[in-house]
Amino acid sequence: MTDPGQPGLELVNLRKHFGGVAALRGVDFTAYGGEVHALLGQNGSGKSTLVKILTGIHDPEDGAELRIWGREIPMPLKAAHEQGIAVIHQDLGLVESMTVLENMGVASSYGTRQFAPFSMRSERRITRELLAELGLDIDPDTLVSELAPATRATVAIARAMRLLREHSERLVFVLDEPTAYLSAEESDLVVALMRKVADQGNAVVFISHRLQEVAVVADHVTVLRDGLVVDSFERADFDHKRVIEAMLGQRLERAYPARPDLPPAADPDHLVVSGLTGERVLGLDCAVAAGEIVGIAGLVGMGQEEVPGLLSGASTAASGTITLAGQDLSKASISDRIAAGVSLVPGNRQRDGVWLEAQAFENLAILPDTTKAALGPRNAGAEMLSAGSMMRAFGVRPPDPEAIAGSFSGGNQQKVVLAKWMSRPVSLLLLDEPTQGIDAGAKFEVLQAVCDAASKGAAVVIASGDYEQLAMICHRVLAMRFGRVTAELSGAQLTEAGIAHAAQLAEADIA
Amino acid sequence: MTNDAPAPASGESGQNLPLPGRAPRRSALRFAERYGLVLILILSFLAFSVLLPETFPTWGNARAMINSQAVVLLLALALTLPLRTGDFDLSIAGTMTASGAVVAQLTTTGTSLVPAIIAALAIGLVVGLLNGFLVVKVGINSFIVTLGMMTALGGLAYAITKSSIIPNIPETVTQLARFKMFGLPSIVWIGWLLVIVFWYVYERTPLGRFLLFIGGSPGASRLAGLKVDRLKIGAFVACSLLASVTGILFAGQVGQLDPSVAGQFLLQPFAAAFLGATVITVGRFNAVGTLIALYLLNIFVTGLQLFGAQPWVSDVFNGCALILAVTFARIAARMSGRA
Repeated sequence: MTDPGQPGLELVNLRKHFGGVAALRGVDFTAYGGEVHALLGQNGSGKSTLVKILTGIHDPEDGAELRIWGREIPMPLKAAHEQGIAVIHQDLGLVESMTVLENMGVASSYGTRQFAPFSMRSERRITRELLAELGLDIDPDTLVSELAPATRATVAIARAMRLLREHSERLVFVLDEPTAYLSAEESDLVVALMRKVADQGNAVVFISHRLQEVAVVADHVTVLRDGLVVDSFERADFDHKRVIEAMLGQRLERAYPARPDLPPAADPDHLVVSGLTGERVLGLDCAVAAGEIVGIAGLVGMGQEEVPGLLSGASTAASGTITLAGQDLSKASISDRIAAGVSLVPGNRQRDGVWLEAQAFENLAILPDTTKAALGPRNAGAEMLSAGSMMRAFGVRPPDPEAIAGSFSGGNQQKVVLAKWMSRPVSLLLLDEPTQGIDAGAKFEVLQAVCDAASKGAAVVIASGDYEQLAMICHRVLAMRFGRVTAELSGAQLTEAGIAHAAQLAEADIA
Repeated sequence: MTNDAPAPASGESGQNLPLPGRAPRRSALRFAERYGLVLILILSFLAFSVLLPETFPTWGNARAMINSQAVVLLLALALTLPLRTGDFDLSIAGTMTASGAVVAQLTTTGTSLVPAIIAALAIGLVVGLLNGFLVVKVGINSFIVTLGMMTALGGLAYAITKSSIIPNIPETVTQLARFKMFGLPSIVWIGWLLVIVFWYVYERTPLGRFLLFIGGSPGASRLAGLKVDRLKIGAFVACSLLASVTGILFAGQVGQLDPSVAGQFLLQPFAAAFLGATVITVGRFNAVGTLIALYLLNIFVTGLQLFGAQPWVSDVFNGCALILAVTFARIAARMSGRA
């Protein structure tokens, strides 16, 4: 419907400072019709400032230009959708308690004016046609809350398309990490849709931390670092190493920390789980040695994401026993398990990991000290000192104990969470997607801390959809399907492809 | 521990990372934020003193202002407990009135002081447990639960007093609130003492931080092993018990009990607690800030009244102050990058 090869989104000389700190230092960026253009960069590279300029939240400094399909658009950008540009964020902005059909119409006012009547029949027809056009097999009457996360993302894209088409034929989509919380399999669905939307002649800007997806879908890659475009190349030149180098600004020798050696005399039955059953997990049996790192992999919804919560007591097990260093924790409360040395780094960092509005040292000092009375005086100076040294030890930047947790990047917040949980003796370290949505440098440091905990004798259990990460740091990986362990990989089997294959077995069985 | 890490953000590039909220904030600005309200308190006192030299800056007026706020101070302190854990308690004025009515009714009909006080405190205990149970265990919005409780307790106060004002409360009760030390009645000193106690608990003990964390991040608090449910219910119970104590002292201070009084004490504690959250420990409900905010509001109301303003002015003023306080708190939070 449009001419591919025509510039869809053109940004020229984008500059933005925040209180003397440069976020963007003259960025030029062009995304053409018909292409998926990946925009890469670490946290703090200026990516999110660029996106916020495209949503009209920030106004760039003088001299910047924005053109959409060659048309000059004044900034700050107002009513972006009327200009034919849609930014879809990670949280999608769908109303979960409403149906797909209702969600489709809401943003576009059901194609009518405020008090004019709208026809549900034509709404339904438009929605069906659009879903069919995009090849999405979704019942428009399903509640969004009942859809899988990846399907929700596709609904959000379809909805944005519906909205944009009321104003313009040629569209620009900016997808801000739409796959960050999806497993590799789930994100395939979103990636495939992006391709389809671009093939219609639209321009698609795709922001992601996942190079694998980028390698699959991107026609063109632009890398930002410190507010500048540091590299830009076609698909043919795509190379993981080149991208990582460009993002980090220095050669990345090892993307992963060295897997710690298993101590030979370690207790092989440090953690013994027997018949553990939760909502999805069905009768999990496993033993983890002291110093061993065990990964739990699986497709979304297969139960692996539930395991850390069940072991920590955050979710209640229906049955089964958990024994840690000989101590029965099957029925123990969260606080009793913490006292026994159980530490959980939760998957939802912003909800369960840190209190974003509190200062870093307050977040670090929140674990109750059972040796002290709750009404005894706190030693604020000591708290501050120990917080400062913990933050330096875990590489939190800046290591300022008085900084508000929410002012840290995601990676640094995660380091604060780790520091909090490792400030005491750790006997069992549980992690749920520990490196989700954080940049490569922070990812390394987080995994290094995990390895350090193991070499100090903790049993470590990691649930993750990042198979490469599991392959690199785990001693053993359990693949789960339908709540049961279907494969156990170790030694030479322990590769990203091997884990993916083990997890894929389930998919083959469904079909 | 991460010496061999690539640490891409720690080198020279790390210095350029735009970290929101980490721009060095001048300490003068922080000082102004923390103590702005104190300054306004002093300036407004001086301004009214200059404008009304005959009536405002007198010991009699100061004493009248302090005495008039004693009850509200106690209620506002009680209110900060559930506010810190993230819940509303609209029922405190109702609890106060019902407890006051019980003490007034019992002591004027011959019951001795101690059983009367126990009966009054029992109301607070039951109300606190009920509020806590319904909010925490059943999962009803605290606004709705305590709004219903407020109305029910207001009705209960009428039932206890048989819908009339109970006069001539015996001296044993009135002395609890009126006993004078250094020219001020005991109810004032109790309030000030509690400000110190609450300050200590909130700012200097783990418990104070637990309460705050539960309000700020229930998820992180639960995973940290805090007994979230127990602490939330505890906050409701402590709040209601303090409201009951306030009711006993209120009956003593006034010397009679009017069952219709609850409505007059509904809003002011909220205005003081919310405005108080904009000072001292900014963005958080705190004891000293609540005290300052309360006195600031009263200086304005008293000053305006001495200028001849109609009695309705105080309602308009307090209502607007509550809205403004929350607005300021929001803006302050946004400015410091916490939003």
